[in-house]
This record gives sequence, structure tokens and C-alpha cells, in this order.
Amino acid sequence: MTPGGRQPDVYLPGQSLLHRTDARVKAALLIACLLTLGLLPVRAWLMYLIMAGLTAIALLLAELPLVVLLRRALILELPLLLVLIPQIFLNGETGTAANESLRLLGWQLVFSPLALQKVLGILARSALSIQCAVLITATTRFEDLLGALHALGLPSMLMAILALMWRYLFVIMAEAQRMLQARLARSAGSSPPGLLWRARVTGGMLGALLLRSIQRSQRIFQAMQARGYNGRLILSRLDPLTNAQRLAVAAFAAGGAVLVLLARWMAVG
Amino acid sequence: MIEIRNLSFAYAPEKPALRDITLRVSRGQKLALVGPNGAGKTTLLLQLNGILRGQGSLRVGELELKDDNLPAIRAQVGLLFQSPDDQMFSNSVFDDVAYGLRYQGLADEQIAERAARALEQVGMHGLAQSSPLQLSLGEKKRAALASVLCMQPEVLALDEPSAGLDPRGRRGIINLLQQLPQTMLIATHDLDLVGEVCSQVAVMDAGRLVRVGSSATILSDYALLTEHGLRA
Repeated sequence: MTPGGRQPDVYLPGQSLLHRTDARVKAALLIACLLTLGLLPVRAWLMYLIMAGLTAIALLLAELPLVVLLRRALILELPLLLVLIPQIFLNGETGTAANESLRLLGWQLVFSPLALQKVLGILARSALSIQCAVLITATTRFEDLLGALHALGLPSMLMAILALMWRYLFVIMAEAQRMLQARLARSAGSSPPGLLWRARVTGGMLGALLLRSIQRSQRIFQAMQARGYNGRLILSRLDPLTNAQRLAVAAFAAGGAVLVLLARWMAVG
Repeated sequence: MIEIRNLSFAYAPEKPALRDITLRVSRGQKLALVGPNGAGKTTLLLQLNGILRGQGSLRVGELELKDDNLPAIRAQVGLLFQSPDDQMFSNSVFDDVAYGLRYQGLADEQIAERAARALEQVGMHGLAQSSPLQLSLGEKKRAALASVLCMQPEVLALDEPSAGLDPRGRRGIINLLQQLPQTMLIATHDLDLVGEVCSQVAVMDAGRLVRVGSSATILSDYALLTEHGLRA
């Protein structure tokens, strides 16, 4: 741990094609990808497969350790898995024709095949969306990504808030860590005080952390003022996108739209 | 270069932080502000580019400190904060150094050139793309100094530039400050730094300016230093 805090290591440095691609292009492709996945019908299995294939190609193009990228996506997907999987069984009502039963480890599980399909569809879409987002954040520096999102219309004030949050999140985490260590260092007695007392101490620590953060924010504001900040944000200017870059984004978005229309036509047919 | 007359400031009515300060610093002079904690050193530095505003008058060069002159004064006075974590609020060293230059309305090429030069000056040219979180305290201090130097200020107001540094980091900062030509006000407890960098010393205590004199005179006055908490 550095003195200032734990280093955020979301970005994985590299020289791959994806790393070198303009952040605005990557952000636009990611948005197109998320829209496509979000608009696909629930049972568009073939389209999911095509999107999975494209994601796999992108993963290979990133030239980064696959295990790391997949593990990151899995960690983010986990809460969704925990929420969605019970839905397969919660929707099952014993005795109705639409339900199936399954015997597993001596348990009779009743589930709805329709719910199963829905859950699998949602999981496929969310897994692919998360994997794409993980890939883009792993190959793009955070500040470049913020600049790209701003170029695509993110308000500058929101961007500044995100940038400062990213910068100080780890500093505050380190501060909290040091406070916890200080508490631990003085908690060596053989008869620990009651829960209420400990809760009060924890509350005090959170209050102190909040106050320190407020004081820090005041000092940061002073530092910004000292270097000319006048309430108006000035961001670095970006070169305009080349025609080839625009074409790549348009082609990808059009491809996504074709996939969605095709999937919806097949679903109706 | 800097002329402060009868300056008083209070964070709360019952808690005055500066009391009737009158001080003159000539162009190119390096003046140390010394005194115990709570003496008002940082508060005085924050007055220099109008972050805090007290009663009395303050001039930087030809400019009187008032609202209309604030942008020009802030361009002239580079303020180095005690904690580089507070000062370096951007997500990369380069962005942080470039921050003030963007507010000066410079073109991207000029920003890149000045930022590179300032980082070179403090020996940080290889770390421009690093996150401030990756740097040691000494590197952070030097990068924070670069973010001030790149604005080419005529006055440097430095708050505890050597605090918390290991001997090598401290030596690096002292050498750097010795080489810089700007007018300087350095708030510090580090009397070795004062002796090596500053020609003049102002002793503060409880918001008052107690004594101003040459470094040699003040640093050899053990009674004065002891009385104001600078020697144990």
C-alpha cells in the first residue's frame, strides 16, 4: 500500500490494438454493444452466440491475461447470479402444467422452464455486457474514459465529480484502514466491551472519517482555487475523430441494429 | 514584491488567526515563516493569493489584492500546500501539472511543453503519466511543486515543503529550493532548511509577527526560538 492509498489497478497497461484505439471509439462501441444486448429478445440464443463470439475476439485482441478479465466479470456478475437463480424456482408452482421437476441431492426441485429461459437470457446479456465493460476499462485509462464519456455528452460537472471520486476514494479507504488499525492496536484486552459500546466507537470513527473528508474537500477546493479554478471547468481539448474511426463506430452500431432487427423478426416468425 | 500592511484575519470572531501583520518581502528574497503549530503561518500563506481574505492591505508586485486582480495574483503566486494529496487532485501527474495552465488559456502544445519542463526541473519527467497514488511522499511533493512551477509564478508560497520526508527526499527539496530564483515565503518547522535556503526569517506566534531578521541572527537566538516553541 502506498502512503496515499491503495493503487487502483483496473487499467492493465499494454500495447494491443484495443489499448491503442481512441477512448472515444471504445466508449462508443461499448455503448452500442450494451444497447444491442439490451434490445435483443430474451430467447435470441443465436444472437447471443454471435455477440459472445465478437466479445471473445475482442478479449483476444486485448492481449491481456484472460483469467483476470473473466474473473473480474464473474465478480461483478455474482450478485446478479445470486438474485436471478432463485427466480427459476420461486416462479415454479407445484401442480401446474408449465412446471418441471428435478431431483437433486435428494431434493425435489420444481421450476418453471419459462422462467429458466428468461433467467438464462438475462444472464447471457448481463454477462456479455459486464465482460465488454470490464474489457474496455482494462484497456483504457480512467481519465481517458472520462474524457471520452464527456466527448459523448457526459456533463462536465458530473465528469469532475467522478474524477475526484476516483482520485480520493482510495485515499479515504487508506484513511479508514489506518483508523481500523489504530483501533485494533488498542483492542488487546481479554474482556472486550459490549456490542453497543463497539457500535458507538464505530459510529464515531465513521463520523471522524466524514469530517476529515469534508476538511480534505475544503483543502482540495483551495488548491483548485490557487491554480485558477473559477467555477468553470476547463478540460483538455481532444483531436476530432478521423473518418475511419467514425466509420468503425457507425458500422458497429449498424451491425448491432441489424442483429436486433433480425432477432426480433425471427422471434415473431 | 510582497507588501502586507496591518493584516488581520479570524476564522471565527473569538478566534483570531492573524493579528495586525505587517511584512515586506523584496523581489528574489527567500523568507521563512517559523513558529509553533497554530501560529498562523498557513493562514498567512493562504492570504497571499486571496484564498482567505482578511482585513488590511496586501500587495503582490504592483497588484493590490482585490477581486478584480485575483486571477493575475493567482498566476503570480504559486501556492504549495502542506499535504500533496490535497494539492494533487487529478488522476495523473501530467493532468495535475497541466491543471493551472489550462486556466491560463494556453494552447495544448504550450501546456505539454511547460509541464514537461516543470517535471524535468523537479526530476519527475519519467512519471508524467503515473497516478499520484503510485508516488512516494517525496515524489508527490516534487510533483506538487512542478504543478506550481509550471505556472511560472514570481512568488512561491510553500507550506512545510520538507515535512514528512526522509533525509534523501528532504535534501532533494532543499537543493531544489536553493536553485529556484523566485521570491519565496516558506512556512516551516525545519530550521536546517531555513538556514540553507532562506536569507530572512519571520517568527510568528499566536497570529502575531514576533520578529523579523536575518536567518543567522534569528537562528542563533536560542532564547527566542525556545520561547516560541522552535527549540525544546
